[in-house]
Amino acid sequence: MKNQDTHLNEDQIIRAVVDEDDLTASERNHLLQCFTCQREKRAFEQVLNRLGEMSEELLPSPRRRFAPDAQENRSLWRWRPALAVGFVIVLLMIGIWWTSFFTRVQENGSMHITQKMESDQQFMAESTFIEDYALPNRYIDIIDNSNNGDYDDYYYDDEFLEFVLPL
Amino acid sequence: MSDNDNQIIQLVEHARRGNKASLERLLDHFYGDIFRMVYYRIPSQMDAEDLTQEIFMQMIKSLSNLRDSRLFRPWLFRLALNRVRDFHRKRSILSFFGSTVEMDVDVQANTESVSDPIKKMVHKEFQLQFRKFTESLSRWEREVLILRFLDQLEIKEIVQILRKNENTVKTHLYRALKKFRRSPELHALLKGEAS
Repeated sequence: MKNQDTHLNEDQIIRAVVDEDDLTASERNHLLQCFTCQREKRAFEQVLNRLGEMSEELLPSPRRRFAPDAQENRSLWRWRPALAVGFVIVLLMIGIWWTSFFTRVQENGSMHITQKMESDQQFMAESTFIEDYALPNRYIDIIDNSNNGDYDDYYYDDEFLEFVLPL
Repeated sequence: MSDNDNQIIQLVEHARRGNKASLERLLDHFYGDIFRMVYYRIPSQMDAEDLTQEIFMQMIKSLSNLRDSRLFRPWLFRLALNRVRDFHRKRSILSFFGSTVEMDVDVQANTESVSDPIKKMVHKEFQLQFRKFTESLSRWEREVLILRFLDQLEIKEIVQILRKNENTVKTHLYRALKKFRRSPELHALLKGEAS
């Protein structure tokens, strides 16, 4: 009866399972001598071991094998969205630069054409002036230019014509 | 130190010096352990597979930072645990936006690959009961219990992984075991299997 009373209780059995060295010397001695307590402890350990065994048995086998090389490729592949975004940004930058370049070229081109047209106009004005005023200044005064160069309406004095071209 | 431990230390030393064969042997040796560790913390096979691959990628990158080759196992588990925590943080952010149904769907998906109907039923029951039980534990109780009995790590290794005091680890384990004894469904399932 006394032996029954000194059996390890549940807490002591659990402590023995965690680490037997944590029991007091008298508890350890009892455990060494008492088959009931040993059986109790062993039964609990078996259940816990079964937990580990079952977890092992019921573990599904991995569907794929680890391959470091494939992982390296995969890690590069993982950058795919970032690479795509980068590529799009580069394309956009090229597009913007290209558009601004063409605008600049077009602006330069139209400026050049305008300048050329202005110089042409100036040249035409000069040639028209030369054409209109081909005679030296002292002869220009002789010409009656009051009708704005409309030669058909020029009035030629008979006396003047007689003087220039005598019949 | 066992022969197996010495062999692992040798493999780690060689892998750190760039020996590809040693690295592959290390991967073969620990792949199952880490996959299981991740799987019972993330109840989705696909996510567990992805995360396991990421953990090993990080292991390869960070192996040169490991100062003591003898601590490789706890170092790898700590690395894995941190990745699992990151995963749960991301998941909690996602669940904030209302996508929390996936977990239940995944239990179905995980048991679909099992062909034997009895095994399938046991598998499903185990997953449900195990999850129900672990959800009743505090974060550290759960962590210590899984590391000790599912990942089968020693208390000293758990101390290194969690960077906690040995007595603290033991206290968490003691509390978790006490709750485990009061978890009738899981206890009965395991006892039935054990007998």
